[in-house]
Amino acid sequence: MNNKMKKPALTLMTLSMVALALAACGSNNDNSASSDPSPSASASASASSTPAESPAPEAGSVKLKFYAQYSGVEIPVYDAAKEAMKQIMPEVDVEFEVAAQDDEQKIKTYAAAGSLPDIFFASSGLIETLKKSDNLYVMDDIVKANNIEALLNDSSKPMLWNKDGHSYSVPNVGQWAGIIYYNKELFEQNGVKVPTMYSEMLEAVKAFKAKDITPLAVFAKEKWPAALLLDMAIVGSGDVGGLKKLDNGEGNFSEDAFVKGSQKISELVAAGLISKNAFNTTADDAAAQFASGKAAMYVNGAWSMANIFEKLGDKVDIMYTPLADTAGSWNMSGGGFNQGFAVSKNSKKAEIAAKYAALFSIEFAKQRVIQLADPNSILVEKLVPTNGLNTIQQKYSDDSVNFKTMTTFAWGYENAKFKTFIEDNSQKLLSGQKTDDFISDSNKALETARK
Amino acid sequence: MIFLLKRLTTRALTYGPLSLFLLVSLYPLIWLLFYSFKDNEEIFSTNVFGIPKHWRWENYSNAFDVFDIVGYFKNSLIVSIGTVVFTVILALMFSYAAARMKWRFANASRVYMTSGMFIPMQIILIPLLILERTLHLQNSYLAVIVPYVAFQLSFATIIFYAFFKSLPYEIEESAAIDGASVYTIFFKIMVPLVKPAIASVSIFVFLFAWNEFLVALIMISENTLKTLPLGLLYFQTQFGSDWGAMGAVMVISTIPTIIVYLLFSEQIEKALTVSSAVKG
Repeated sequence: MNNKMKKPALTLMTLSMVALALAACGSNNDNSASSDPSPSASASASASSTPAESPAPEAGSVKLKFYAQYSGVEIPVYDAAKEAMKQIMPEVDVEFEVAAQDDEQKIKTYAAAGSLPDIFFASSGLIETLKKSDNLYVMDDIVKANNIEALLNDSSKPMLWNKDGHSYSVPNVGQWAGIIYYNKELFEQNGVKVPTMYSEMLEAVKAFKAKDITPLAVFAKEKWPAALLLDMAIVGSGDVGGLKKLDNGEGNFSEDAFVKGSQKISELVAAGLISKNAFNTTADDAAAQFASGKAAMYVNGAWSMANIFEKLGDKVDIMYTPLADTAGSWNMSGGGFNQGFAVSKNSKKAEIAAKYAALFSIEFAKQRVIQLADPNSILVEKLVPTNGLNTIQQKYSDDSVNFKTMTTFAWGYENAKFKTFIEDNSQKLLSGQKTDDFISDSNKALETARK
Repeated sequence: MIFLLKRLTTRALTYGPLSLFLLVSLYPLIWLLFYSFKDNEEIFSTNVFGIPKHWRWENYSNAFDVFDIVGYFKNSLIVSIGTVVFTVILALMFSYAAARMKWRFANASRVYMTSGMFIPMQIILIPLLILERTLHLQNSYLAVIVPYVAFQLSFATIIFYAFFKSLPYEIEESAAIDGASVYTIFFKIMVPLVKPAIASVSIFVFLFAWNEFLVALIMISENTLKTLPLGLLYFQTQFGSDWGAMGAVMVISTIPTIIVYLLFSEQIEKALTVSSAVKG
């Protein structure tokens, strides 16, 4: 090689080596689900039926990918459930991948490309999508073989089954209600009556608006809180099915309760219910406004009780149905549905993954009670939270036995078109759209969604 | 007295807008620094713009304890440097060939290459994922480096092409007369002449790769390979986020981009004077 060529050639060689080194450094060495089933894994799959004939599977020999919300306060819950599962299925070792708050974009992309993780958290909306694309493992046999239903309390049993009669995931949390949290101190200081029904709510909104205090902190940057408020108003106006009824293919927006519910939201908005920035407000932002006393009330699910109590302590309390026509209603918005840890049908170890996911859900539910003081257990087994229940958790726990009916949160809607338009239209209503226009637009969209 | 007043007015008119500009330019960085020492209440409600009322150093200790910042930092560096190296080398060679050599499809190739700028990343995610899985690239550094390079080639090519076009042909003619080969001319003469362009492209490509989230989110599942933006997901739970700790991580992750900018900023300024390479 002549001298003129030496340097460029050496440079190219060096770069090639760098590329190879990078590829090698990052090469996927995991022998997880994509690898061939090991003998021990096969053994473990059949272990339940013929334990005496099969050799004991090697601990951790089956590696599974587990895509879930492994972050924040839930990390210890996942870790404890994983630890408990080592006693039940020692042959399985799961690697958690932190789920992104990306509106399920990553998991849907994986499904479209046929690359779903072995186990993943799936909302009911995602379950419907993945059912259509034949990506979900049907867990009926696993549920029956492991007697999962017997472990669940009566209110949680329905969540085990999809409306088509199959189970695609074992629920890991209970039927949370939609709640309006309120700052007791602000109500007392300003002489405002805590609303128990719609007319009092309207008065409270006007009173706080007059004092330049945001009546209700809503994180309308996300779309579901607007849908939840509308659902609360509809349920409170006499139709206990709320928006879920429409999602199920029944009724329309011209019915009395829907018109009345929409009018309630319009009236509250006109009275100054939300701040001007509500549509740029995130959940953390809204919680911070509420915690700092800039907002008198805050709408969210009951799952936020621990977080909110931590910030406000005894200053905070909860109300369930302040948009109802009369006081004392126990018809609730929110709820639960068949969602939880699902399994990819294409997993090389789908059966083991399904058993693991089903039993993991139970351990997860246990640890949520023990470690996070979840007052809404799905289990028959009575568990004691390590740190006890806080005031509002205790109140919710006591009151939840009175809940008569529930609807669902927006991510529980099964008709994807319905979910999209109702979230968009609820936001428009919350931003001041006239009731007549809302009813007319929503009825048109409803027709399209049902085609 | 009037003279002094005039002088003061002139200074105020000169330095006033400049100071305002400085403040507007620097405040986002200062704000990020402040916010890395606050909690959610201060960030969103009680003290959005001000100095932290209570300096929460625990946000930084969380960044190191809870969050594998060293690992994510290392991954981000490998991905970003890898992207810069491959993008610059490939774009330089292609641009030189398109701008200075005579071949049949030179112009068509250049248009084809630059058309990549008009393809949004979102629409190619699924085919890209299938392609990477087929090539066994998924969950490796190359899983993100290859698409990053592909996406940045268009931009880099445009910059380098313009620079190579602006250089006088006499440089290469002289070198050829002196017996230099194509490689010698390219590596020893032309590449040094476009160093300012290389610096500019390197900065932009580095920043892109350092901050990119979407492709990395889809292509990387292994915790050991995650980059800093992916690592930040650890601070986001389903119903809330620890913004103070995220701020601390962002402050730390901003440092390399500032260093890269400071290292190369002089070269960017020189980019404006590249045409003075040959005099007379």
